[in-house]
Amino acid sequence: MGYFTSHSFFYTYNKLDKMKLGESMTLDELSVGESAIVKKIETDDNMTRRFIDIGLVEGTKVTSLYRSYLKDPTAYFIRGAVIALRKKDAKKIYIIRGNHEDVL
Amino acid sequence: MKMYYKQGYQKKNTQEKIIGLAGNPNVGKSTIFNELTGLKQHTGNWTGKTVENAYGYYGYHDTNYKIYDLPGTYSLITHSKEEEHARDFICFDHYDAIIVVCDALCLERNLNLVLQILEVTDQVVVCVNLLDEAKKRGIEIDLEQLSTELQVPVIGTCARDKIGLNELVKQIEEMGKTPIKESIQTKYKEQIEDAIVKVENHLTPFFPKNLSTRFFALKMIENDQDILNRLEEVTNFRLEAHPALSSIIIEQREQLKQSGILYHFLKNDTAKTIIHHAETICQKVVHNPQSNMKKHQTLEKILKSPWTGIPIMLAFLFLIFWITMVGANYPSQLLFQFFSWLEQWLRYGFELFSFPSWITGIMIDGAYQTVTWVISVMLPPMAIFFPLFTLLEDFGLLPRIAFQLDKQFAKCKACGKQALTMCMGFGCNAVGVTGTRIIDSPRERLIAIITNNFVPCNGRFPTMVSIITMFFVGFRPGLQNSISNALILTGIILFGILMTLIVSNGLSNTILKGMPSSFVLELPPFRKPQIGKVLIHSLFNRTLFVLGRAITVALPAGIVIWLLTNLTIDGVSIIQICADFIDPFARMIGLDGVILMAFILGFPANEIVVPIMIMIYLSKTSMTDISNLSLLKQILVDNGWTITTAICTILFSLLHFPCSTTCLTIKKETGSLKWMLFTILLTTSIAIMTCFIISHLLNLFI
Ligand SMILES: Nc1nc2c(ncn2[C@@H]2O[C@H](COP(=O)(O)OP(=O)(O)OP(=O)(O)O)[C@@H](O)[C@H]2O)c(=O)[nH]1
Ligand SMILES: [Mg+2]
Repeated sequence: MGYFTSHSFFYTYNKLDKMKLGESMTLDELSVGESAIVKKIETDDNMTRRFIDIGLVEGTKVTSLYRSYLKDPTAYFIRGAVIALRKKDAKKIYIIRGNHEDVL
Repeated sequence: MKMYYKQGYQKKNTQEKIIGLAGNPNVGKSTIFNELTGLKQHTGNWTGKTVENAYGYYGYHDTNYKIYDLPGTYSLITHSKEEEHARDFICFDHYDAIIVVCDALCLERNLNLVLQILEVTDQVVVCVNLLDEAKKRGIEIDLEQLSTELQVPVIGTCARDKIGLNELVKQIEEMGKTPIKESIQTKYKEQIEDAIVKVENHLTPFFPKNLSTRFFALKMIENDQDILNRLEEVTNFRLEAHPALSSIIIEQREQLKQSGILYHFLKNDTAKTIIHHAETICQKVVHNPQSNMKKHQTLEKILKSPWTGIPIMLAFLFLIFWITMVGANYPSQLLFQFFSWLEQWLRYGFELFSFPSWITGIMIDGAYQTVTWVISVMLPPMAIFFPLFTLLEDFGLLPRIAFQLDKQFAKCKACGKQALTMCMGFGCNAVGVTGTRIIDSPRERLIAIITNNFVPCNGRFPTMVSIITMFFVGFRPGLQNSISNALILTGIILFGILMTLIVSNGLSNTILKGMPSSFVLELPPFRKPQIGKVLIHSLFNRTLFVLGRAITVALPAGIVIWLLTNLTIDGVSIIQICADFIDPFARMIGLDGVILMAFILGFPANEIVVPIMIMIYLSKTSMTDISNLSLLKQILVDNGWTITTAICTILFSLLHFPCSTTCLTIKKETGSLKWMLFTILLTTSIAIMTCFIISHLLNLFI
């Protein structure tokens, strides 16, 4: 797990509830305040291009910042910018959750 | 600070050079453009403010620079209309240099575009803008190192404070003098590089000299139809005309396939390589990249909560309307008084020279009264509303509204960015319609175009304000009255938004069937607006706009309408005959013949609807002078207006067919007469139905 520092590992470990560190899930399941690394994107070509435009590809670090008042869309911190994505689209992004306490 | 360049076209200069301003959306391209040229391109703190190419001039030493402000784009592979403009310029046009403007806050993503553009041309100056904001967040960027990495000149700027622009201008001049170095190129996987070189070798002999062979060789292998079609349009270069080349391309694709690279996926593959290249460069260049967003989020937290977010936005809306109505009241009255005072003198003057009465009629009752009405009623509210609105826009509220409302739009299978185009509609529906270019999906874009009219524009908004002032609360000053006025107006705007959602939903389920497409919206940081500058600039702009409309539209319309009301057949004016004819129908929807007639004749511009009504009503009475709104109310009431009439007139105004300019824009943007006619038909039937229902409901209770 080259992504996570030992410090954040412990941090996450202590906070761990039912989900295990490094467990694979989709981006929409990421709780607000948590970070993850994109593992795989499975969506149509057009959408993939849009993601590539904003630098969202395999290996990119994503942090979930906040949701809109109707819980959808959600704003993510991606490569220095804040980007809103709909749940429907975020579902197609598979991630490995990690916790960087320095992010939020 | 002394600026060394001169804004605008310099007559004495002998040479001309062409410069393009490219970059991601919302990085300050238009701001730089304005500073250089002295023009007033609109800027705003959200992505997609500029959707059309604009150009201007600045002079430096003995050269004029023609500079193009391009719409923002994330990459050269385009998705939406406005990005196409930018791409076409970068890939196909002749220019002496391209300035790629970057956002210092997210340099990494911006470098993507830089690296892509470097594939197309070496004549690039990279301009890292927003350095002030980066500094505030502790981000440090080593510009020299960046220049070494990219092998192109890099200039740091803070466009809003005019810092760095001298250096930028100097650098561009420099480029024309020294031979241009070869810039860095992103290296792809070996097999891909091999393929590119092979195709390039065959391409070079007959390919247009000014275009990049490497870039197009790659596009040919990728089979990027979009860009190849464009290539054919611009240069007549057709792949089919070169069988030898085609077979080499196919051969290379086959080769790639053997090493596991399918050409379908090549595009994404190369794009990712570029992203990683940008990442590597950034690691060397950016120190303390921003990883902590905590500080900047207090406002977002307030906005996102269901208990505070929506009420706050509504409160904002209400507050703006309240300030507008209260603030506009007094200047409006003053203008009325002034114009009516002037009118007396004009009449006196006309009598003095004993002009025939028809000249006095055309000039004063027709032209003068229409123009002064438009100015007194339209100018004050607009001159207050717009600066306020622009402040919020500059602050960065608009994308947040789109973010919060997106779910609602998604439910209607539409796009949240529609909210942005609706905001533009407040200024002018035609601008709103053009603004829909930021919506990727053609289906969702059409929905946004068709429904844009449900936001009252510059011409209708003040009309509603004046009717509300006249009929609902009266003229008595006082906090309570002004608050209820503003509440009613807010209600009407919300009704317009509701109708937008209902109609969008209806369209999505009938003739524009489809699922909502994807949605990627960038939320820029909140920026402290330059209050003084924004206020003065947009006040000035709006005043000019309203005055311009008053002269170009209201004046001729006033003359025509006066003629129509005064040319008579058997003692009845032509317009009255028409009004009488449609009167029974109009009464069914809570209006009367004159009102409906005014809306029809107001097709060229919504501003003149009320003046037309007044003129027709007035032609029946002896009174000619309206010095204030309460007198006007008297005239309307004398002609049978009730509160129901007022409500129905407002609703009809909100929902009815778009004005002629908007219609033409719809035709242009959709490329079809059919959609224009459909929009007219749809909006008008909705207006008629709504008024019919509301007037009958009201009649039950009143
Ligand atoms: N703090 C700061 N703000 C800036 C600077 N330059 C531009 N801005 C602000 O950034 C926002 C975007 O500027 P625009 O010039 O409209 O950006 P654009 O690149 O033309 O955007 P699009 O037309 O959407 O592509 C505006 O609110 C500007 O006031 C700068 O150097 N410093
Ligand atoms: Mg712009």
